[in-house]
Amino acid sequence: MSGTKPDILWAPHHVDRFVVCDSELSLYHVESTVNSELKAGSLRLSEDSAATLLSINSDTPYMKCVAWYLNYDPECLLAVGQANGRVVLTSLGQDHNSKFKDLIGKEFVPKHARQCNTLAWNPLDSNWLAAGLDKHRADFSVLIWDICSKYTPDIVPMEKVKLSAGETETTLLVTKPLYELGQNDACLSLCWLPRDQKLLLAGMHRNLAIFDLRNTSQKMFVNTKAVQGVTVDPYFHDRVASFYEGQVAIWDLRKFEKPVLTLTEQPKPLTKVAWCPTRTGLLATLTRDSNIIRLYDMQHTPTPIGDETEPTIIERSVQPCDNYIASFAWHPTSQNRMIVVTPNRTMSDFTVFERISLAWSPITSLMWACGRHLYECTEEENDNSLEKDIATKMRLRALSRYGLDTEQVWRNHILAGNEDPQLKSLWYTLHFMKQYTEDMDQKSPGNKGSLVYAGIKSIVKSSLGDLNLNVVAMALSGYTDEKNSLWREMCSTLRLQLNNPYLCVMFAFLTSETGSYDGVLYENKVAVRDRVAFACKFLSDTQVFVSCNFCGKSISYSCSAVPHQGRGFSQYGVSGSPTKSKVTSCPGCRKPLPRCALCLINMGTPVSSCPGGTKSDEKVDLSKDKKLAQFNNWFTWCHNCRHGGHAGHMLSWFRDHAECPVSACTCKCMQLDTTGNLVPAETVQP
Amino acid sequence: MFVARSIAADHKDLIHDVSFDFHGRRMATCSSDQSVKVWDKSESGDWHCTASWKVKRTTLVDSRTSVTDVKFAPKHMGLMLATCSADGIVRIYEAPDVMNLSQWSLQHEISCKLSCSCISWNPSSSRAHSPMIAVGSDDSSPNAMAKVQIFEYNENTRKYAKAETLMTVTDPVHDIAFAPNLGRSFHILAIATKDVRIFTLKPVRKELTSSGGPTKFEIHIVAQFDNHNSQVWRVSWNITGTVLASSGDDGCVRLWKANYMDNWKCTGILKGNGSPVNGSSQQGTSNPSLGSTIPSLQNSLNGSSAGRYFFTPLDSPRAGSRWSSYAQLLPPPPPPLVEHSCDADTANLQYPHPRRRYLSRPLNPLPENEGI
Repeated sequence: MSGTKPDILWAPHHVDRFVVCDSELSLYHVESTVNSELKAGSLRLSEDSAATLLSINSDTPYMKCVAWYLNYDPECLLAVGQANGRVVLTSLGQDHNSKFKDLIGKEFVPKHARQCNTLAWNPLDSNWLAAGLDKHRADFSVLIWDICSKYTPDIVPMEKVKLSAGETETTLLVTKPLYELGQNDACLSLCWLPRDQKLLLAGMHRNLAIFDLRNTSQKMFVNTKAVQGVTVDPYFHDRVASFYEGQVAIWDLRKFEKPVLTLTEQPKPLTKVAWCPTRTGLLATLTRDSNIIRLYDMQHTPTPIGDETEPTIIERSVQPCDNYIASFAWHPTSQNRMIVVTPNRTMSDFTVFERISLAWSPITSLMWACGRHLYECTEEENDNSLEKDIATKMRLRALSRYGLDTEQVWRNHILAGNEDPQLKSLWYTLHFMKQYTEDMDQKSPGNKGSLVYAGIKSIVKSSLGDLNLNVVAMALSGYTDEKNSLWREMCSTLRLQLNNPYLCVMFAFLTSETGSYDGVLYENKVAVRDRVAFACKFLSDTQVFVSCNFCGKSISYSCSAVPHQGRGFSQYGVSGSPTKSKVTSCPGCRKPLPRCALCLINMGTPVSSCPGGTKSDEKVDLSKDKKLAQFNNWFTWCHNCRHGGHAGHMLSWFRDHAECPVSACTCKCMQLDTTGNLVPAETVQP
Repeated sequence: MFVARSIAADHKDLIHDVSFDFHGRRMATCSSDQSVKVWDKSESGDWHCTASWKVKRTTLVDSRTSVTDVKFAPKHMGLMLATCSADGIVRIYEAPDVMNLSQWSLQHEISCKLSCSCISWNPSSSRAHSPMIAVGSDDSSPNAMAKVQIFEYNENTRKYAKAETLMTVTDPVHDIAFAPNLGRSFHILAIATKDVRIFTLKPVRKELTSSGGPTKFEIHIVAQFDNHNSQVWRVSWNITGTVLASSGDDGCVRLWKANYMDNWKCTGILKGNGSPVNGSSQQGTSNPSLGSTIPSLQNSLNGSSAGRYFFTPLDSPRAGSRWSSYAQLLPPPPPPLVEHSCDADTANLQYPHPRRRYLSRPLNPLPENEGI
C-alpha cells in the first residue's frame, strides 16, 4: 500500500466485486466469460473470467491499510487507515442518497499523528472499528472507534470542524475513541476474536495481546516476535496464525503460551497470511518477491497439546501467474477461489484445487473425490468396441461367455463382439483346425502336395512390388543348418530389413535354434491367426507343467513313469522298479509333493487301485488301460476350494458325491465345472 | 471416451479417499467430517449409501511420527498391512486371526532412511514374484536424492531387503502404485511426483544372478508426462493395468494408456468437477446422478464379513472355478486363501501351479489392428 505495492480485497457481500488499492481505490466487477466474448475495456482474470473497472476513488491519499465494512452495504463502504494515523470512511458507490451518506467522509483522528498499521471491523458489532497505530510515548496504539457515534452523543462528543482555508467541504471529525488500549506500545496487526464481541487480539511490538474490553485494565499476552498478520481460523476459533519474517506461528488460544506449531521457514520475509474462508485448515502464505503462494493444509483437529501429537500438514504451492505477487485475497464464498494482484496491477483469478483422490473400480469405472463431491467416470456405452480399453472388453466378453463355445468354435468371434476381423479369422482358423483333426481319419492324404507351398506362394506374390525375389532366392539357396555359420549370422541380422513381416519371420524361423521361435511368435505384424497356426505346428505340446510349491521348478519328470536320466533314483535311496516311480518329492528341492485328499498319499505316486474303482476298468483293452492309468495319476484340483488329488480318485469320488472329499469343505467342486456333468465315455458301460 | 457424472456423496467436508471392494459393487469413502461411508451399487448402477459410521477398531502405536500411508497386502498374503511414516520406517503388520481385528502383530520394520510418503504392494500373486513393496518419499532435505525404493521379501532370511532404488526420481513423490500383474513377466510402477512416470521392472532371471540375494531388475522408464504442469497427487491403475489415472494440482484427472508398441499417451482429461476440459471433447457432461442417498442402516454390513477383508487392493481376477488337470491351458489359479483352512490333514494341501513357459503378452490389445 506504500504506493508501489497494491493490495486487493473482495467485497464481503458482493460476490462479484473487489477493490485494488495502492495510491487510489479501484472497484472492479468480475464477470464470467464462459458464454460471452471479452468486453471492450475489461481485463482478463482467468480462462473464464474478466474484470470491468466500475469506479476509482482517489479521495484518500497516504493510504496504509484498508478494511471493508462487514455489513451489507450497497455503496461499498471502506475504512482507510492513513500515514498520519487518521481513519477515513469512504465509498466507491455513486448513490449519494444511501443511509451511509452521513458516514462517508467521516474521519477518526488520534491525538498524536503516526502511521496507522492495521484496521479491523468487529464481526459482531458492525459499528466498531479497531485501528492499530505506531508507537507514541504519550498515546495509545489501539483505538476502537464507533463509526455511528453521532447517534450516541452521550458517549462520544463529536466536533464539526472546518478544514483548512480554501476547502469549502465540511468533514465530520471524531477525536474520542470508544476504547484506548496499548499505551506506549506499537500495534502491527489486529483481529477480533469471534468468541466474544469484546475480545481483541493484537500483535503489539514484542508480544501478542488479547484485550478484553469488559475489563480494559487486564490483558493476556505472550512475548513473541511473531506479531504480524494475526488472523483467526474461521473454522476453529481458538486457532490463530501470525508471522515474523519467514516464519508462521500457529497458536492455540486455549494454551496461549507458545505456538502449537511453527511452519517451515521460508527464505524471504512473509507479507501476508490468510486462512481459507471456505474450507477447514487451509492457510495461504505469500512472501516478498515471489510468484508462488504456499498453502498449508492442516487436516487434523487442533488440540492445545501441540507437543504430543504431531500434526499432519501437507505443504503445497501454487503459481497463479509468472510475475511477483503483491497481494492476494480469498473469495469469501466461492470454494477455494482466490484473486492475486501483481505490483503492476495485473490481476488473476484462480481456484486452488483440492487434491483429488482416485480409485478404479474392478468393473472399469473410475471414481474420484474432489472437495466434498464424488464423481464416477465410465467409458461410453456407444463407443466403437475397438477403442474400448481391454479391461472393458474383457469384462463384456466374459459376460457374453466368449471362448466357451467349444462346438461352433467360429461363433466365439461373435461372442467377442463381432467387430474385430483379426479375431474373426483366428476363430475361423481354429474352427477349421478342429474340423480337420476330426475329419483326419476319413480323409486320405491325396492332394496334400499342392497345398504345401500355397502359403509361401501367396507371401511371395504379395511382396512382389518392393522386393527383389532373386535376392531372396539367393539367400535361401545358401541355407545351412550349421549353427555358427556365416549364413545364419547374416540372415538373422539382414532379415530385419525386410519389409514383409512374413518373409521376415520365415528367415527368423530358418535361423532360429530349435524350439526357440521368439522371432516368429513375437512379430506383432504377423496376424494372430498365423502365429497360432505356427505355434500349433512347431511348438512342442508340453508348454504347461506343474511346478513345485517350494522351488517353483517343474516336477513333471518326477511323476512320469520314465526313470530319471543321469543319476539313478537309487542314489537318493529310492528303491523299487524303475518303471514304477515312487518319487513323492520335488526333484528340484526334495520337498514333498502335496497329498491326495482321498488316499492321503503324496502325489507323484502312481495309483495302485482306485478306491471304489469299478471292475469295468480292468476289462478295457491294454492300451486304453495304460492311457487311463496315466490319467489317473494326474494332479487334479478344484480352482475354487483348492483341494484335490489323483485324477482317478477324484473322478470316482464325484461319481457318488457332490461335495469335496476334504472333510468340512462343502465346495461342490464338480458342479462348478461346465463339463463336470459329462460322464467319461469309458465309464459308460453296462 | 470417458464421461463423468456426479454422485451425491453427502459428506460434510473434504473426501480424502475412495476404495472399492474386490468386485467393484461396494465402495467406501472417508472424509474430514470424520465419517466413513459404505456404498452399494444398485442394479441400475446408482450408488446408495448403506452404512456410515465413526469407528476405530484398533490403533497401531509403533510409529512416533505421522503415518503417511497404509495399504493392505494382496489378498493371497493373508490379512496383512503395511504402513509408512514420516520417520522413514515401513512397518508390516499381520492379523493372525481374521476374526479378531484388534490383534495386529508387527512383523517387519524396514528402515528407509527417508521420510516416507506413500507405499504400494506389488499385487502379483505369482509364486515367481516374492512379496514386494515400493516406497516413495517426499523428503525435501537437499541430501535426500533418490525418492523411490523397492523392498523385496527374502525367503531365506525371512526379511525384507532393498532390491532397487530408482535413482532418476529425485523430486518429492506423492503417490506410488504397482499395476495389477495379470501374468506379465514384468512389473509396472506408476509414480506421482512433479510429473507422472511409469516404470517397468523386469526381474532378471534367478539363474543369472547369485542365488539367495534380492532379485535384480531391468528398470526402464516407459513414460513421463508433465501435462499436469504441477505436482501430481495421485495415481491409480485400472484392473488390467492398461489405463492409468492421475490427478494433479491443475485440478484435472488425466487418463493414460499405452498402445501395442508400449507408447503411452493421454486418452482423456477431465476437470475435477467432472466437466471435460475445453477442446478435449465434444461431449457435454452427463446429468448429475439421480441416485439418492439412503441413510437407512437396515442393509448395513455384517460387521464381521466386512471386517475380514475390508477393501484389500485389487487382485488379479480369479480363475474360473473349474477342475483342471495339468494338460489344460488355464491361467494359474490363485494361491490358497487363509479362510478356507479346515481341520483335515489335507487341508493345507497346496497345489502346484501350472505355468506357461512362453509368456506371451496377453494384454496387448490386439496388436494386429495396426499390423500389415
